[in-house]
Amino acid sequence: MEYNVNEINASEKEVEIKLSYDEIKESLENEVKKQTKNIQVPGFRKGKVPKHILKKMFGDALEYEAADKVATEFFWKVADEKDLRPIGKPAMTSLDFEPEKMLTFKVKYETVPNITVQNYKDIEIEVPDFAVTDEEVQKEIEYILKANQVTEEANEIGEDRNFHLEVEINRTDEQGNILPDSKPEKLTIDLTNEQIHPQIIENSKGKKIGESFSFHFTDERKLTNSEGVEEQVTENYYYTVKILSIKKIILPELNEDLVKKVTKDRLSDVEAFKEEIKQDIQKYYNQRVEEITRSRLLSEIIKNNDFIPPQTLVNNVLEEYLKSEENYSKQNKIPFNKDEARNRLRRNAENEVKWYLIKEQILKAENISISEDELKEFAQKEAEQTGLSVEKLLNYYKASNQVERILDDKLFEFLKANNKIKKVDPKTLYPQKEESNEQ
Amino acid sequence: MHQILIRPLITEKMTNLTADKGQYGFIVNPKANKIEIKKAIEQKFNVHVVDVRTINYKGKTKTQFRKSGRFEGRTAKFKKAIVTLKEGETIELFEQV
Repeated sequence: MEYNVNEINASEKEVEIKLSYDEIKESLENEVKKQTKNIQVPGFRKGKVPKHILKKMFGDALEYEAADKVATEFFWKVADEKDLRPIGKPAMTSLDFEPEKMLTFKVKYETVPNITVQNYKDIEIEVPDFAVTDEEVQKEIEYILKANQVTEEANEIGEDRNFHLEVEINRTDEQGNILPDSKPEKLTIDLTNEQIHPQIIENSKGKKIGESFSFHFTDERKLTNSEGVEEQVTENYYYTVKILSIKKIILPELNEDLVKKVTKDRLSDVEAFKEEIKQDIQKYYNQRVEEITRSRLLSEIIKNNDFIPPQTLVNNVLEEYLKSEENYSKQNKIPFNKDEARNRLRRNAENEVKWYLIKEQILKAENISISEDELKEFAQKEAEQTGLSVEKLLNYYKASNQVERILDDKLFEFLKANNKIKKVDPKTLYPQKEESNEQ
Repeated sequence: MHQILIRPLITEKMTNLTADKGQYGFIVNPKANKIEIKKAIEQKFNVHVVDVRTINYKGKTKTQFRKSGRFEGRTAKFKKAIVTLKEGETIELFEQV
């Protein structure tokens, strides 16, 4: 047997195997025997047709078909013996069989690429240095006040926006006449909502129960006409709104009682409460910075060690992505286009596979692993937080992929320690969102 | 003269007989006799026939029940001939199938 492996790219190879007839004779005969078991010829029981009759009926066709199977069998034998490590489904690209002489075939297969990782240390990346502002704390407090608001019946809408309205709304023409096909609709309008149309806020001021006001807006959009040409369409909508009831919103005062109520008696001091809010927001920002750091480090390392990933693995990851996105779309009733999603998510899937393979190499090169003691230590920490027993946690880690998660965290800590992570003003990183820390 | 040899008989049983005893089976014209069969084979395959044995099949009666009542018919009758050749002689039967 002769064989030769040609490298197509880092993760794709082609092996050419040459076999003499003597080497394959036995396998070929066994394979032909297997096939003849299923052949039916009138006058014979199934599988009882003599060989010479079959040979005369089908010629060498049986041997050719058997050769294909024998080739597959020999490919796997060679793959095992020579440690080729194919992944996915290898494909036979050519097969040359000369009965009673020889069998030559080529098989293209994917394999986990042998990559030598480099430049994963001393990389300089910039991450935003988010700091909580007083405005952000104030905004959070406003949300809390709003969540604890009470309402009382009112007769008239005042100058401020702290009102809820129950209204009946009708579509009208420009002159204010209700359109014949318009159906009255009952709605609740929250005037404090920032997305409310400004005309509603302005025109409703000073109105009483039973009175009406109107507003209009223009909708401009692009539509494709029957000839397939895109054209700009402008449509005006006019409405009349009849007020059915008015409720005034009364926001509570931020005092000890409210702090006690919100924190369930954990805190009572207003300043301490504000400080806790600030810390919570900061905690959230720190998490975001951690995610950004991880993502930037990974993309830099992938960029420094780029290679073509095995398509079998990419497709597996991609299918998982598509499945989860399809489920999400179904649950949230969002239209789902599989082809569009496949194109969009392909790059992410490729990066995930690339990182997985690079990660394995870094772990090997740096000798990073999780020892039993470390796992125990980790379990002890979590046991203190959760109240579960260490034994139970250890079993859970081993049964699930938690060990991998812990190993990932350890690797990330290593990468953080060995690369230059520069914290910079978010405004320089995201100049278009200067006014807010939110990404 | 009518056609004597209709088709060779290639079945599991006949293949075994051929292999063990050098006998070959044919479906022949039911009107043909052993002498005619022997001559026809010797002429067609250029061999020497030692023995001819024949079996007549009458055809089976088949009954069908239809709306109009019982309907009876028969399947075709046929004749089988088993010929023994002189030792060492063979017929390439498969080409005749």
